[in-house]
Amino acid sequence: MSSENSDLRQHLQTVLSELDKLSQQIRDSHDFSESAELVLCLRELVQEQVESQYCENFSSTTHAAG
Amino acid sequence: MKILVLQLTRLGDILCTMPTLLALRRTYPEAEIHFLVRKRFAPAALVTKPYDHLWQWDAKRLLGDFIVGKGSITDGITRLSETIHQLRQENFDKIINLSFSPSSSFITHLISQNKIPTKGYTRTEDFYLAVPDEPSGYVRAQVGLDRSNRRHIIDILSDVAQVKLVDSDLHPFAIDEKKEGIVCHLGASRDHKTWPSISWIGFFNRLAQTQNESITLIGSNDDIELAQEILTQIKSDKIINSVGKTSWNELISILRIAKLFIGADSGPLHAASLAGCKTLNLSLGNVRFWETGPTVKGSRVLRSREPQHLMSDIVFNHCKNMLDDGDQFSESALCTGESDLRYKVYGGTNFEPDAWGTVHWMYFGGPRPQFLGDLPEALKQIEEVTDIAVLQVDALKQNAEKTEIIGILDSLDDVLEIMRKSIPPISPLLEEFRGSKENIAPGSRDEVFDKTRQCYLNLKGRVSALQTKG
Repeated sequence: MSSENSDLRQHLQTVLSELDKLSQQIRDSHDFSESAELVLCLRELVQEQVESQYCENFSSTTHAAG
Repeated sequence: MKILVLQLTRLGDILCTMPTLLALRRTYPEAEIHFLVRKRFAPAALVTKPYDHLWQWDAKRLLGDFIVGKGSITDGITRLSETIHQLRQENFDKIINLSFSPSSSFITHLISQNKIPTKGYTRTEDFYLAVPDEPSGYVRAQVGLDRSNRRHIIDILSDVAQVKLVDSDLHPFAIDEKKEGIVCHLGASRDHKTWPSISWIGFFNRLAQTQNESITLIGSNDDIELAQEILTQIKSDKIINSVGKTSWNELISILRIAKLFIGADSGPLHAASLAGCKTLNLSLGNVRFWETGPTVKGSRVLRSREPQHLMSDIVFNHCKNMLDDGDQFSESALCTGESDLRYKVYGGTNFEPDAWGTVHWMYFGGPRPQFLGDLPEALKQIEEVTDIAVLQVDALKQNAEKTEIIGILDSLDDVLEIMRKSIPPISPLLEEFRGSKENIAPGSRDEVFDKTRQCYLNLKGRVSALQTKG
């Protein structure tokens, strides 16, 4: 993996960690607002970006959602 | 009626969604159909346009700043919100999400806001995954690698959309004319799905010596190097190198007049099916041909988990036999053209065993599987676990202070999970149980207890039915 890719991976992982924290706060506070759902959605989009950029182990194109 | 169809996974999935879109168009001729795909794969959505409007989900715009290593989460949310609101303003009457991904379930829910009838994955009001229809539940429980589904993804997508496919939906570009030439797709989206160059060279050399058919090489820019490597080793004027030179529409034009397409599990294979081109599918690596193989009747699948283990002689023999309209199917799976089960396997050790018999019985009215050896004992143990679990759920429902019961229930689930992983023939039962338990939406305490109890009872019911004599 090139250093550019490595930096990008690190950055996306940092963003993902931040979104994970926010998502946990949302779950804990039972915040069911639209802005909360947008955070959860963004978290999944970033997660997919991480997988599609770096992971070759997509179990299936129809993989089950969590 | 205004229908939004989401297909936010990959290129091959977009092509596999086309038959369902065509069936929707046929079933609802007056409907205004909108199709949402990822911008990166949008060109594949243009090969046929059975929709009125194409929406392109622009991940780069939404996440662009993150991807270049800057930007705040707030910016990302603002852009996401803008896109969702744009889609909401269309006031769709129905949403069909054919993506089966976590993000698409949120997007579906954000657009629908629980006000629009929805098929496919969405979210509950408190953001848990909601699987509102049986076909989507089937996907969650049984579809994917290392599982036992044998229903083709094209058929499953039509199940979710509740439309019936006809031949013209599957092969909209098929023509009934004399066909000539062979089209080969050298690459694949992943290395583990790609046949090695040395194997292609062996195959082409034999083909060029014995056949007069032209051979057109196709592929993306990523395959150019591979094509050049192969071409330097072959002396033949029958080979036309079109790698990196065709648009999707040009590819369809080539495929619809070709006698045979040869390639791995990838986008061009699905394009060949849409074009009605008989296919020899080199099913390599970690893929499941039952779900994503060719759909043109008479196509064949050659399976090998290790790409280098698929011998060029075997591919050549099948290729020749197909060109001659022969019936030497050994070591292959033949596409029968039947929608229930699209392939018939003709011997061979390359076809991984699975528990389709159990899945077929559970979901499609197949015969009850006969479990021999230790399996009846395993079923008995599952029954005992469910009996204990139901008693424990009832006890906890009556007395919330008995928190130690939660630990007992976790342990019982651990036992079932170990059995799911270690006893393949019964794993579909436990996949279904796991899926249904995970799909229990938050609710009142009593509701959650009742639904949990029902999951154990449903599992017990399945196991009892399997044990019934006669």
